[in-house]
Amino acid sequence: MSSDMVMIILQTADRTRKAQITIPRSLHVADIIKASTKRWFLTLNREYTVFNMTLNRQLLPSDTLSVGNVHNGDVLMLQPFAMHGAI
Amino acid sequence: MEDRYARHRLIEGWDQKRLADAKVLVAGAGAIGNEVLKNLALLGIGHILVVDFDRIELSNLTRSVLFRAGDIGQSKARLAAERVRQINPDCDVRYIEGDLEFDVGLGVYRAMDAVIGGLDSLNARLALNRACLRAGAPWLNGGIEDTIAEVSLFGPGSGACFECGMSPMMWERRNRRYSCGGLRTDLPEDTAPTTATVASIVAGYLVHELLLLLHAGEGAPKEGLAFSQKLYLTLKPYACYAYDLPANPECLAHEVWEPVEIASLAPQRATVVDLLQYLGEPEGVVELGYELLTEMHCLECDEREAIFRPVEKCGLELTRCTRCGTATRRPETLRWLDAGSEFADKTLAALGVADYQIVAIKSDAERRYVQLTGEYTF
Repeated sequence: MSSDMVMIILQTADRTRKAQITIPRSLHVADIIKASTKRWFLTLNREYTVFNMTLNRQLLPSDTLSVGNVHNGDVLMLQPFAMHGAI
Repeated sequence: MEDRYARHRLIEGWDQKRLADAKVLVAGAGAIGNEVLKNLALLGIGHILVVDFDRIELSNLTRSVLFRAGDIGQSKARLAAERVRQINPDCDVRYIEGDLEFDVGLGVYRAMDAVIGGLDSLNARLALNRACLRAGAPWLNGGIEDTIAEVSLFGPGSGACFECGMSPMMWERRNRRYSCGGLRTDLPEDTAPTTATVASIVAGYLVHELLLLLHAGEGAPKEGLAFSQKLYLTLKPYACYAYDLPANPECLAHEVWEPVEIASLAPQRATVVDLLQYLGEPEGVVELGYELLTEMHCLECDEREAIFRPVEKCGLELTRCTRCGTATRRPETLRWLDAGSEFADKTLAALGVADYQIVAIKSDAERRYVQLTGEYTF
């Protein structure tokens, strides 16, 4: 695997989807959210965030995986943003 | 003789007086807000301010412990405040039936020990986040869906704020609610599948975090969540994560308005000219902090209608002319005024400035932050 690539495990918060993928370190977190919601047919009227379970921190959507300090083998969780509560 | 809070006092480190002295603003009196308010009442939180612009609907009754079928159509904030007083008369509960961004002055947020948000939209959270950052108030965000819940804690300073985590998709979704002129579009609010169980779980965590915040003393670190941390819960399958939220160095929300000067001027009576004179800044500029819609101007028949409301509170229906019927009216707006401005003799309240608002005054030399007074107490 080239040093420009990183192998991660990506899963959804409800554990119904999980994949081991090798992707460029230059990829933005927002792109991962966009691609996974599309490929996994996730509900589109929700917002998602990415939580790095290995580092125990959320990743900024504007960060690349490299800037977000994502390493080989890290487990990333795609979490729907809990938006409701008032109505 | 046993007192009401006897069981609380058995807890090591418990400070019932701290709770009795505390000032807490609850933004949103819906599913989460009801459960939060019930907990605050039972705990004996001394000073509570409830803010909600909404009215009670039939579908609210499955998640709103404070509301009854006979309450439908009434103000959520008023009814919630009334019911909290019934649960615990020790609580001094006030309410504002209005918008947390435009009807609650930053001075109100500034006076709070903590703010708890049980809101329904991204936009309301962004507004509450900016208000709390400017006012230096810690705030707790609660959110629910059918099987997930989250609680996050934000504090003043440079740590991550709610807005730091906004993705381009979230901004896009937020911006879809506004036309290019800033008027609200007619998009219906999203409704989500939620239950009383998940609302009470998240409210329990929110109020527990408040207790930890209130009990954190000088030099004693706060237990539970640190500022800029999130607690994320899933109920299917059961899981709980507490983790750090990263600050975004490009985030524009980190703006603390200090030092704050107090001016004994009320928006209901004082004008822009009065304010500038009071401050000895005749050449100064008063920044409203929002875009004020002053009038709608019809490009077809030249009809003009004075409005004077923050543009974000106005809907696209205003583009339709009341005289010729075409949808060709355009908004005229302003963000700041000086003593020579056309509307400088209007009261600040007429310009949409809320009681206890903090306004920024810009002069050549500096930027001053001035807190106005108000007609109510909190």
